[in-house]
Amino acid sequence: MKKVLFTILALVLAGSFYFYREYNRAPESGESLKSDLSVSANKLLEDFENDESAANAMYLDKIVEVSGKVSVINSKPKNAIIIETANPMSSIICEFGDDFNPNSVKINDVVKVKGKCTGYLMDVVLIRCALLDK
Amino acid sequence: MKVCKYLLIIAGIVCFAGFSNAQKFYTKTLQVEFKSETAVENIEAINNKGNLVIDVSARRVQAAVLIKAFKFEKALMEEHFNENYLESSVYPKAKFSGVIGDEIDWNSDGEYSSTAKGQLTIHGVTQEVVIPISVNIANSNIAVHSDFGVRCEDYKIKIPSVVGENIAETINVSLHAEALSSL
Repeated sequence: MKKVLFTILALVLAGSFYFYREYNRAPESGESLKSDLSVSANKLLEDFENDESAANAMYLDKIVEVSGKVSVINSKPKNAIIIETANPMSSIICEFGDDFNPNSVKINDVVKVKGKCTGYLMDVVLIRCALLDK
Repeated sequence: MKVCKYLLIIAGIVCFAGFSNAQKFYTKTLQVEFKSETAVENIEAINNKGNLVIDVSARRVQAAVLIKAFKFEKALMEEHFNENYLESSVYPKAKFSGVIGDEIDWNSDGEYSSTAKGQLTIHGVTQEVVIPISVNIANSNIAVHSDFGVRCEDYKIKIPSVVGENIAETINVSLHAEALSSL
């Protein structure tokens, strides 16, 4: 009898601990994200411009590695790198976390950024980004 | 000769368009925050990558946000929000398109209160809404702010009864944009 009670108690504790951990789990971000695919800035934008539905199916929620040239760097609180494309009106906007160091890149640097693709407004927007070694 | 004439006319039109009063202001860092406050728990999320365009002469305002760019502190909330409530893979954007009142003098510094009346589309459902807007213009720096409520029911956002107590019926939405650029 005691053994059964003890086992149940252990299970309840383990379960509670698991639920507590799961409930408080923070979204994965930056460095810890595993890339799903790799693409150039131009191709990523073109795919969205040509067929947004198809591009959504291909890229939404995926961790995308984009390579391209930096055109703008925004420091706190907007922590972002903007990667230019062949289209002067549209770019790839990469949002970084609070730990972003704007001095780690310079304008016109060719960079590789990985982040979660959230879609296309006038630009393609990636969030939770991390800079990759070129 | 005819080519010259046409070129001159086109040049004239282009110059005129440049001097006309068709001002447009925009930002790609419109901040959209929302809060659901209940006795059980508070849920908040923030999106820093919204688009906002204001056509001053037409008094039209358009805003758009990508649902997947809302960030939560807890992964579970973010996942439920995207997969179950807003179904963001099916409806990746929320949009507003409307007309602003004429209380705002876009060329003069000042604090202005007005409203924007138009269509708000969330989760694929469009509703006619009137949203309060405040505009602050100081030294050519334009800031726009708005606070309004969104009823989940109005946009067919289904909250399962299991978590009915955890999510407010009306979500408080807050829009903020600063340093709008000229288009």
